[in-house]
Amino acid sequence: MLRATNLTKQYPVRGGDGVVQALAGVSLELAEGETLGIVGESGSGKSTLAKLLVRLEDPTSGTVELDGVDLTTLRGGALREQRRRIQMLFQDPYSSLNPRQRIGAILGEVLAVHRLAGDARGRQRRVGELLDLVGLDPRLTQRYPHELSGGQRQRVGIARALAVEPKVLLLDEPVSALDVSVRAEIMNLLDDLRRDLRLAYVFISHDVSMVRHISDRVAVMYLGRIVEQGDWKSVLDDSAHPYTVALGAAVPVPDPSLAEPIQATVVGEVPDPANPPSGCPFHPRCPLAEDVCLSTDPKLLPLRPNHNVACHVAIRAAVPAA
Amino acid sequence: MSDLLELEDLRVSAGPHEIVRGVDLAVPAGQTVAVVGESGSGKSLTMLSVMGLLSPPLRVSGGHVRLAGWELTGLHERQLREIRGNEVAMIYQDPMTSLNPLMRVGEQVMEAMTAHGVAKAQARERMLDLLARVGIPDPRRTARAYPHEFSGGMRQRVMIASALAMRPKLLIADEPTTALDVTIQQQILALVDELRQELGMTTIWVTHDLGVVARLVDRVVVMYAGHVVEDAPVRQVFAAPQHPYTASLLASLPDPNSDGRGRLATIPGRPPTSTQTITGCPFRPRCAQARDICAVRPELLPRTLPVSPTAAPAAAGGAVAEPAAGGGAAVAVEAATTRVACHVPPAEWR
Repeated sequence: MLRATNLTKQYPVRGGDGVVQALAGVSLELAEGETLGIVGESGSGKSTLAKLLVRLEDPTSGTVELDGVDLTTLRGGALREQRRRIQMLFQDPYSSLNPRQRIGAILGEVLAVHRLAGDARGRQRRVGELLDLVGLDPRLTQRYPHELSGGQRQRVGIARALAVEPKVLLLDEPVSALDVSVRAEIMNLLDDLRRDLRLAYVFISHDVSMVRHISDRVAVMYLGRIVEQGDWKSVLDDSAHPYTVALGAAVPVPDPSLAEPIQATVVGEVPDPANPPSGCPFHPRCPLAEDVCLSTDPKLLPLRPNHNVACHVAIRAAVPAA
Repeated sequence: MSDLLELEDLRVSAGPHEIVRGVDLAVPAGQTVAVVGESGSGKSLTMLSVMGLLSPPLRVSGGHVRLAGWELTGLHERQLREIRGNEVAMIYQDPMTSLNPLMRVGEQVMEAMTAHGVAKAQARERMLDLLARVGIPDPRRTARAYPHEFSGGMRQRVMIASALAMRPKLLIADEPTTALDVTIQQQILALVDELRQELGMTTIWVTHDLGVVARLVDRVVVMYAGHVVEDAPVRQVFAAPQHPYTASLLASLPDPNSDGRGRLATIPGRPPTSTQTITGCPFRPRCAQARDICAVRPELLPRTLPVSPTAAPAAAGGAVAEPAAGGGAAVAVEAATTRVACHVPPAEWR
């Protein structure tokens, strides 16, 4: 249903004539009702990818198709119509909710702009339905965003995204800013909505445990590339890329009986995308790096059915010398 | 062990509203403690009062804070400044709030020492050592950088360096990794834990996510609505939480090992706001175990556990700690230090 092909995005460097390669050729697919988890850290390009998928920004090259229609070439009304079908939810909806508007007005405005739900009375009824859908008391229409808790605001954000009846929700770190028990509530809500409304999700997060909880398929990003991609269990429980392995090992284990001290499993930080390393982008931090990794950027190749990886070492290990 | 930090019936208010509602807590020298709670639980305000860093309208409205023998409540700002840094230092979630954006990072770490009377040349030497120790590459060059030139992880390292400059006896780490990527979070947790051991610092981790600090602490103090509701050794908290709120918090963590597409456990309702008057147990409106007696506020009382928690099934969510073989006796000894504010014994709900 949603297909991105070979997306790249370059930004000019401030005060210089170089470019930053924020995305270096990313392809992905999303089927109806499916959840694709995207794991990555700061600088991985995951947020740039999200912006391209909803066409908040244009790619430098590559295409984004929704049901066969190329979004990157659409303009005006046709773009608005397609954009309605793919909505984005941010980490903190507070920054995207007008602080001077009541909740009812915020949601009503979205309906009015998109000419949905008929007249004022119809819109009012629909706002009530939307709040009910996300588990909020319809009386909250009279409240302002600052009067709500973080979890309630995130629910309003979800209601606003759902107001235009999208097929795809792009969730960018939707629970990272929330307390653990509220986080669980929002995850459960997303689960329910996906089933009831047959939504497809792109769930973007640095939190492996949340991605694990909700995703059908997982893509791991590093420095503007997908380095590992496939079935969630295969990618997260039987990881092949050393970066995915390190990410998994970095998740704090809630078990006080483990005796050994916490140790960093991966050293250093994500390199500056304006000055990327040669060859494999992970090689300066990689415990398995070899000569070939310094010179040649590995391609994303099939490792097993429904599991691709971009790593010279992992691919060689999987395919013994013929 | 003598107590390095002692809070006695500590109360913090904003105007007429009490937010921290009587906290009793003693932390012996050398111990590592997690103070756990959700937004609004009062955990951060409790720690800011230890630092003497509450700003109006927030104020300590009752009780005592004693640190290394000093009574901090009622001290003047000048005396407090002397104690901050020397006796206690704090690292925060967002280093940008404690780093001066207009000052080179090296100078900031030095200032933490010169303000306490360390000579400049000596401070400079120690600053370079500290930056190297916290993992900042090429300290001589990077000391000249400004905070905005650093990544979040590097800024956090600078903040740790300046917090430790005067070798405080007590380090308070308030969610220092919440804003960081997981691999960087792991690096920072490991770094602080190493430094803690090296310097023999008493350490308090303040967090909303018990899973993050499970392996770092000896003891867990759970706060809810401005009260301490449970205070127990960490292994016991995971194996056999004594307060229903603690059990619910643990259950809402996703199980890292399950094929779990199941629903996460949640806690119905919301914590009370600071403007609400609380009668009885503060958790009662959300508690599945609430009884009539819960209309009377339960005191935080020592609890002796009749059975070893080895036999008790843990909370759902897989956050299960298998006590080490032969650990039963040790747990029984630790249990003597458990305090719980709940009328209903776990035997009735677990």
